[in-house]
Amino acid sequence: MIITHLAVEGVGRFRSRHVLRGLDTGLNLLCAPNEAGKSTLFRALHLALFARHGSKTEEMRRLGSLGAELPACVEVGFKRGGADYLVKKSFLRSTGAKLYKNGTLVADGRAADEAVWTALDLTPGTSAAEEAAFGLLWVRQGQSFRPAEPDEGTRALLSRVIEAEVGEVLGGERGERVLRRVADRLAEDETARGQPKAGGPWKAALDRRAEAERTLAELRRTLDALEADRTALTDKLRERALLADPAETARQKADRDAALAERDAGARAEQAAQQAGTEEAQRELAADRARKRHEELVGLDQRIARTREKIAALTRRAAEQSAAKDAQAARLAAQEQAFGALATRLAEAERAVDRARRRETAARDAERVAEISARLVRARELREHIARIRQLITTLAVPADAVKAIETAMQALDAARARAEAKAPRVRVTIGPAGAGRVTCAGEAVDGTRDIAAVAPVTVAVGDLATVEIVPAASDDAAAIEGAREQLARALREAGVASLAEAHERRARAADLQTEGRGLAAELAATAPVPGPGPAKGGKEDGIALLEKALAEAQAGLETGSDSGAPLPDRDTLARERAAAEAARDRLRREHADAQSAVLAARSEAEAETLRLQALQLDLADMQTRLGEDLAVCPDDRRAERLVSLAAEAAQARAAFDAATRRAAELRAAVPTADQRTALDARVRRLTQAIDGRERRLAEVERDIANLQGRIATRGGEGLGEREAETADALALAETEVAAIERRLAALRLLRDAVTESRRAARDSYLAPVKTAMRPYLHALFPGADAALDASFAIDGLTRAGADEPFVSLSDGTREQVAIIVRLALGRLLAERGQAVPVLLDDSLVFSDDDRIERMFDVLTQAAEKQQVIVLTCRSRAFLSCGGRALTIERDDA
Amino acid sequence: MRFVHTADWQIGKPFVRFGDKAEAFRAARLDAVEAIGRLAVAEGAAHVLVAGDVFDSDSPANVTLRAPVERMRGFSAVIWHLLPGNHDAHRPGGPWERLCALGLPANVVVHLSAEPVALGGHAVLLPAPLTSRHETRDLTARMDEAATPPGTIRIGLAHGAVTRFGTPGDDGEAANQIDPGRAEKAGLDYLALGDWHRTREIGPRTWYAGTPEPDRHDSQTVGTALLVTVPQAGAPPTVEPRHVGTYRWAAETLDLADADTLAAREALLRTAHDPVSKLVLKLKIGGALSIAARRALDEWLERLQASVFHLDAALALAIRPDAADLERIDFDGVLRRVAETLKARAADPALTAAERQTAEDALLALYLEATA
Repeated sequence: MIITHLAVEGVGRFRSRHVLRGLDTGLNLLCAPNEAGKSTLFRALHLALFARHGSKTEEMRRLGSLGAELPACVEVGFKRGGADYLVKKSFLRSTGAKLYKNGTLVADGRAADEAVWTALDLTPGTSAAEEAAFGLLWVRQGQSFRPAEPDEGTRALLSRVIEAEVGEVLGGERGERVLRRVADRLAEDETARGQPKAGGPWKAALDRRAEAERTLAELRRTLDALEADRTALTDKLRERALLADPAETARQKADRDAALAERDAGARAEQAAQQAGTEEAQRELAADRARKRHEELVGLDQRIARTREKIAALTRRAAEQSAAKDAQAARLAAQEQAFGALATRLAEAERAVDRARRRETAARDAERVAEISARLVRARELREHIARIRQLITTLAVPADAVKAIETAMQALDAARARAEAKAPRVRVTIGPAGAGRVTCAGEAVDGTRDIAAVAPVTVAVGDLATVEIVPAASDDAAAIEGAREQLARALREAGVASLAEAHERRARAADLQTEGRGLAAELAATAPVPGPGPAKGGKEDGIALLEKALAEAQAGLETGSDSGAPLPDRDTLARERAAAEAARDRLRREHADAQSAVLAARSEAEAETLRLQALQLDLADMQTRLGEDLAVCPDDRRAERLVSLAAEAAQARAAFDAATRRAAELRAAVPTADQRTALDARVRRLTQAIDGRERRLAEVERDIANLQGRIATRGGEGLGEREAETADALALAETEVAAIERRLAALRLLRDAVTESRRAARDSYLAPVKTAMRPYLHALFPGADAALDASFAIDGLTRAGADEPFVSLSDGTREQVAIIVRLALGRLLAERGQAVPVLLDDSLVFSDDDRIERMFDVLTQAAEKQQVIVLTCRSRAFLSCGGRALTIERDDA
Repeated sequence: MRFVHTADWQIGKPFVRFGDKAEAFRAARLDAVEAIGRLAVAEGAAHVLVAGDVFDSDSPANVTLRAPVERMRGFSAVIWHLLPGNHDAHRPGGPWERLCALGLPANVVVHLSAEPVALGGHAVLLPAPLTSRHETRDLTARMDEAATPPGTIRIGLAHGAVTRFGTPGDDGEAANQIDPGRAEKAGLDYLALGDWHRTREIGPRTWYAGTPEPDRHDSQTVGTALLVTVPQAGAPPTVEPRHVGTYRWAAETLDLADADTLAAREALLRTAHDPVSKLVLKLKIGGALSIAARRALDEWLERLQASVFHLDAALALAIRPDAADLERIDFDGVLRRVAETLKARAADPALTAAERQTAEDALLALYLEATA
């Protein structure tokens, strides 16, 4: 379809007839300011094609011109299917409708309304046709940013053309119904995440299974406990039968009594053995005492004899020691005398050494006095020389500032002269061959060419033929030169020199003197050094003062060292004398030390001899005391008889002891051994415990049996076995039920997934042509992007750089651009399949920036190659570069 | 001498897996006791020998213990001889001590030891009670040494598995073994055995009575007791199996390729197990069906379930949708593609059996939803 003509009269602001001129295929652009009537034309076009002319809708009432008495008339011309149509409709008043096809009236009135719809393949409605694709592709003002959402009719149209091409069928309501039913059935059992749903059959079956498992486990635990009780009861009954056996009890008691009797006999034997052992010990004690008394007297007799032998020997050794002590005292006296003589000689030698050292020191002091005196003389000379140089530098020195002032004055003078020369006329005299030697310039003969500046009047004389005086023009330069000269003269005067060269020469001389002075000062510092890290104020005087002080000290030492005032020999002689004196003294020191050691040794030896004599004397006294004591115990005259009687007593006591020992051994042999006693005790204990334990154990077993029987009776009466079997059956039933439900759910999930996947694949295939139509437009604006569409061709969002962006999250501008692109794509799809519908955009692209709008113009231009695109806009400047066919609204008075 | 030989009553078995029919099965086991009593009275048998497993567990409730006793009390002319089996072995604090403590009627005798007991003036009963669930000894060996007066009929009563007898999985096969030649070795005129739920003759003098009321499909179809007549000591006994049970337990296998044969199979079932209202039927159904045939099978099973007392149908069917099935789902479009996908998945050998089964189930669900 191509809209070729639109005229209105009595419509909105167009009271008179106005025509929209320029409509044709491709891109049509109507740029007009606000309130120019663009949207009015949009509404008029819309109503003329889709509305019944006789209806009275609110939109239709708003169509008429305000206060007009005339009907609202609209004429629309269009081409479709190779035919030219013209629709004329009058609304509100004097309503009417006519449809012309190829210039011939083909329908009138209500039939014309419906004939238009038939021509456009629209479904008739009560007051208007369903707009179908026009509703999608004709975008009113302010609606361009809304997503393209095709209505039912448009979807049907799109589906028809697409299905005809791709051969895909979505399955319609049946597919949706199956999917919904499957989802509903799954939802009865499971949550959205596939978990058992509370209250659902699956969850109930799982709960039943879990409950059965829990109950069964509990029952089996109880049954296990019952089984254990029964086993324990069997054991206890068997044990009771053993414990209650009377023959076994009697046998154990007989064994115990026999063991007790045996243990008593052993105890009696042990008692008798102990008594015999006591008798034996007493006899042993008596024999031991008798033996000791005899042995003690024998020992006393022997000790008396040994003491007498020792007294005789000690008496001999004391006499020998007394003689040795006297000899040592004589040796000590002789050595002490020799030691006194050596001490006298050593004191004399020490004095001689002292004298030699004083003489040597006096000689060294004399040499130092001479050396210091010489350095003092040189230092004083250097000090005077330095003072003279300083005086000379003071006289010669020209300050640097004065030199600078002279140089500045000279530069000013040179500059004044240069300026005067520059301003002065140039006098150039060139001599011809005939004039050689005849021409003077400024008083000088000119040979060849002379070129001077006439700073002052210059006279050029040509022989006597003529005199030419060149007088420079009056100026301030002469005064400037004079001022500079005076300044120079003043500077020279203040510096005390006649010229700048003299000033430089005097400064150079002063510098030389300063260098010389520094050298002399260094020599003075070396000759009369100043102690300390740095020269103090008046350091040179201090150095000389130090020298003077050192000289005084050396002279004082010299006077002290000279003992007699006689002249001293040379230093070497004095040194040799001192060395000889020291050698003699050292020799005497060694002899003195040796003598002293010998005296000390002799003295120690004398003391030792004395001590040894004293020790012998003490030992002798001790021996004599002991002898006296022993003789007092048993004198010599009674000892022999006493020895015989004590020997007889000892022999008798020994015989009695031996008899007691034999008797005790016999009794001990009859006593059980420790091991035998331990074994017997253990046997008695074991048999006693066995008998007691048997009775105790029997009582315990009886109690245990009663307890077990009670417990078994209680548990057995509960019908555990039946309940266990019932619960096992219930568990099996629940497991079967769970398995059946899970099998059913698995099938439903598979069916749901298969239907969903099939629908998705079908939709992808189904939407492919739309996406193909959209892709060039989309990529022109968003390179590489893809648009997600749902089955109703509504856009869900964009995919850019791999990221999904929901439509609602896009910016206003992008949403508007994408929405328009989708419409253009759907329009293109229809156009390419012979169902072309013009795209009509009223005041769109209001949110686009400069760059995007340019690209949108490209998109519109591309789209217009396939279908008619009509753009109404008030943004004349922004749409300057849009291109396309320009439309105009013109009054038509014809 | 004439007596009734029975065993394996297993009173107290819960049958929970049968849901609300469990009580009927429990009641049927007690009804069987009465049927045995009636048989004994009718045939002039003074004794009923119960060869073990009177109770299903060794810790039943008191009411469970009392229930068969009260049934037996009503047959005062018959003496009931009860023997502990492996399910209700005699142990301290076990069901038999409890039962004795509860008090027994005069016509009920419990044999808790191997002591021979006189049955009238000409016969002696040699019981071999089990005192543990799993006895490793052959307790009937004592019968060899048990002395009885000459000319006395010797009847053994025992519970266990005859050596190398039975099939894997049977209770008592590994333990509680009994020598199959015991009757000859011990000079028994008859050895009454329990444990094996099918009625079975081991030898001319050795029989398993089988259960009087079956509890599973791999035992006998209908409950049985044995009427035994021993003319005199040393004479061969006459053994007559008599039906005493209520429900018939049958297991059938169907291998289907289509639903057309179902009617014929139903007719056969009704003939073989009349009345089917007492039939406890286990159907194992295999083969491959189209979806439509599978729907027909479901309807058939629904009707069969309403006819029999209990139906346990185990379906191991493959779904093989034909062109008509797929067209009923859809001619084209999403659902048709889903059906094709599921069909391919159900036949994909790379998938596990469980995954293929899930695909078949999903296909069936799709069919049901799409054609609802």
